[in-house]
Amino acid sequence: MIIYFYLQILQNIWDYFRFYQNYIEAILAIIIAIITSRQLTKIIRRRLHEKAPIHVIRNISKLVNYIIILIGMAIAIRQLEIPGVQFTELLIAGGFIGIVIGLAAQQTLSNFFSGILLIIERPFKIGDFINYNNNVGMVTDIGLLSTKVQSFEGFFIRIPNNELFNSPVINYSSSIARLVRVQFTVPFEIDIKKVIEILLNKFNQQWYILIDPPPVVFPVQFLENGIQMEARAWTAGKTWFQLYSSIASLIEETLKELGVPYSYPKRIISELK
Amino acid sequence: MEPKYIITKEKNNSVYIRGDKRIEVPEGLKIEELPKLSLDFSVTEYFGIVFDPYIYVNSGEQIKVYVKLPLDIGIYVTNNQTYKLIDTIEIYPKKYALYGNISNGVIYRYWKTNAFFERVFSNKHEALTLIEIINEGESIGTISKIIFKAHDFSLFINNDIICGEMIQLYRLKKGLAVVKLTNKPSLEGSKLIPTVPLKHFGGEFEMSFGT
Repeated sequence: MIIYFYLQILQNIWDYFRFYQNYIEAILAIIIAIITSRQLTKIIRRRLHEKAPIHVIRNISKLVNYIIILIGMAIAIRQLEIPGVQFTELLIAGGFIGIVIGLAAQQTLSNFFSGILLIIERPFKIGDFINYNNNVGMVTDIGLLSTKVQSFEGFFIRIPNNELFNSPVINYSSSIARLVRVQFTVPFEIDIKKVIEILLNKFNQQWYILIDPPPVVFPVQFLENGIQMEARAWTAGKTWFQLYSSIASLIEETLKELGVPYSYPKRIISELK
Repeated sequence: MEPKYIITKEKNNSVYIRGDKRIEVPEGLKIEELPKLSLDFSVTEYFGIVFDPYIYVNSGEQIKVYVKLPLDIGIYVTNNQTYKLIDTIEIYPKKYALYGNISNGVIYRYWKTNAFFERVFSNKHEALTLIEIINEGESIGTISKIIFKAHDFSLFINNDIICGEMIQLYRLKKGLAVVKLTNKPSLEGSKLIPTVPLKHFGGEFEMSFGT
């Protein structure tokens, strides 16, 4: 009697399951898709860690996640077997909706594909200093739709990938070595050979100025208040700001040490008798 | 004059003090001072030995020379298996140079030295390093510099004499050479300083902008 009772309950559960089988399978398909995508993205993150930049890993993970969820949803819709709705019809409808969305979200899609191309081409990476349309700053994130740049003042600029891909972008960090040039004027009374010798000596003492190619200092042209000189020094791409921010001070310091006065425009006025 | 620093024990903890800097590590970890090749990895990972005067090697022949490489003092936290650099006592001023061009070249730590054809005396801040130059080219080879990846370069110790990993330079033809780190100490019987473990893969650098 008891066994019959339990069998009856199992039969009822089975009937319920049969009745809702499609719904349960659809829900299961979505759950399995979510679990699979999470596990896969975790594996991608761990496997690619230290092999690819963080933004590339993040974007690949996102793509894989979206694709698996979409597959899960497609399977779920198919399992639901909604009366009057064929899977092929759904695919056609999906395609049509895709075209409509594609036309409506043309800019967004353009940004999306530009983002993928930026990841493949890698004109810059996170941490690089770039200049786009006079927006200078450090790249902090390269997303699928936009890239975030932090300016020197600390604020963030969001640039759509489409614009970055189709416009000239200066990457200050991609050069292995960079040249810094400064012009200054020395009065005519001062021996420029001495100035050059002492300046080069000072430059060669700075660790961040490359020894090869060597720094150079040379006269450029005669001005009304003295001889215009130019100092050129190379530095590693990573130490560019160190040189850029100190080269003028080094020159000024050297000229002061030599007792070189500031070079003002001069006029000699003679009185006619 | 070397900068002053102290490595001491307080209770069971190791303590490192240099000026205002004080680093204490718990039991199980200890602080050690060990020699490290003198370069700043935040600027470059390449080290360049610039020969003054140049070395000339006849076609199809090989020669062996010794050089002395500069060593700083590295302060490491260790569990006897892995080593983490926490400070560097700089002994030598550093200079850097560009090898190749600005788009495809590398920045290297510039170290100008003369080469010795026989083993020479070196002090505790120098790593005696043997370089084998093999000229496989068809002309007389002029060797003005050797560049290698310092990340892969191991140091060894033998009776208080520090030596570097033996380096081989294969000059393939004019303007092209390959530098190989051999995983062997320059002085036989030397013990590895474990801060840079031996690497059985990698350790090659192609010098395609000339030697």
